[in-house]
Amino acid sequence: MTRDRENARRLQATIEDAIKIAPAPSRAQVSRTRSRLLAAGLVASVVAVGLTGGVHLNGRPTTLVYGTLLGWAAIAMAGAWLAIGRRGAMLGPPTRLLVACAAAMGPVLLAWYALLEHLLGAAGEAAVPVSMHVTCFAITLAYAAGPLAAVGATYRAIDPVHPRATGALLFAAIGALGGALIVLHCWVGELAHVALGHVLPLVGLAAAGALVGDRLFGTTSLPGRGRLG
Amino acid sequence: MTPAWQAGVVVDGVLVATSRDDSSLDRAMDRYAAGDDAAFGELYEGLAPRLYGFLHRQTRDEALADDLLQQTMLRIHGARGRFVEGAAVIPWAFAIARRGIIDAHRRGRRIVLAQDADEGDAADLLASVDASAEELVDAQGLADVLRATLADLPENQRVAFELVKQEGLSLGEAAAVLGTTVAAVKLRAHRAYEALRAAIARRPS
Repeated sequence: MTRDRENARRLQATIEDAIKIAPAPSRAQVSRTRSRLLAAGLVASVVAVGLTGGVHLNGRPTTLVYGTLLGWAAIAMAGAWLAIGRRGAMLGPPTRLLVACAAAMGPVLLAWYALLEHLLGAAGEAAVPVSMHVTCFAITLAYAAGPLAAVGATYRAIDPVHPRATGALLFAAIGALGGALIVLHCWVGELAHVALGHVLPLVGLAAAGALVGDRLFGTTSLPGRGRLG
Repeated sequence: MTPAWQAGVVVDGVLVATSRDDSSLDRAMDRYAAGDDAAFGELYEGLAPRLYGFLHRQTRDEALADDLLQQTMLRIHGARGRFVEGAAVIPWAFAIARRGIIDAHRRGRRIVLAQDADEGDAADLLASVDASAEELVDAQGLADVLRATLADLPENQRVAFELVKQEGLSLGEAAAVLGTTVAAVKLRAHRAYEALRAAIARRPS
């Protein structure tokens, strides 16, 4: 590969000038910011749970409530870890795996809930009005809003390969976290309500994550041209 | 015909993987991510020629390759704080470069494989398909055939072939760059290899 050396030298100088003008944060700075924002996001979720009335058991078995909370939270963490946990490398797992996990998350959450309900012999409620589905849908999104904002702000430009798939899985995982928290608040155990009010938000969030993934998590969002370039 | 600095992995007579010792580059990136601005020079010296070669092969346009190299290096700089300690910088850099090519393509920049490549490319290509001595005699003609064959390959096969056989990435690294599995990369690179072999076989002696 022959190349004009003068041209190459000039390009290097341009790039070096550009990075002097716009310094980037170091790993330690990014790590500090990330920890603070993620903590703030989780605190925002807890505050939101408090603002909506805190824990309502309403005669439900404690094991069902906390089993659902812990199970869904664990599934959410596993999804988030798969999407952004880098395990000593900079590039994530194959696109298909991310997409499959994002698509499977809703059914897995429902299956976990149905299993617990079956094992504990907890009778589901009678059918509830649509307005309750809508209310829970909105509250689940509200619970997810803090972590969503934190993750969107701190994990920018982490994925040059498949940012849309990463966005879908990460947003689905955060939706699952919102769904895990709403089980503390909502005492309706009807499976259709759980599906529509608690799980459906994560499906919407996964779609939103796929839409904004390029901008949020793709390296395209980083400046690719110095002021001198 | 594997260069000394590459270690080849041959399966059933087919060179399926090459690897390079990039640990000094990884350490430079680690230092740069930790805030050592002086490490950028070392990083640039190690990355830029390889990235430029890759970008130029993909675009066949010096100005566009320069532009994409600048983008890639500035994005590496911008994301340095997110670089995971101990991670490999080369696959990440190639992934960013490839994303730049895809973005340029989406923006309507024309990216084609041109018909005029220099002899360095031809030699690289020949080395990468493990050509025999007889085939090397008519290197330029053969290079034309190989270049045209590569140009006709689907993008995913061509890039898999180039990452593994020309850039020396391991199959796992190439799979991560392409967002797919090792088996898929092996298959794509093998198909590209077979297409090149078939093109050589069809060539009039």
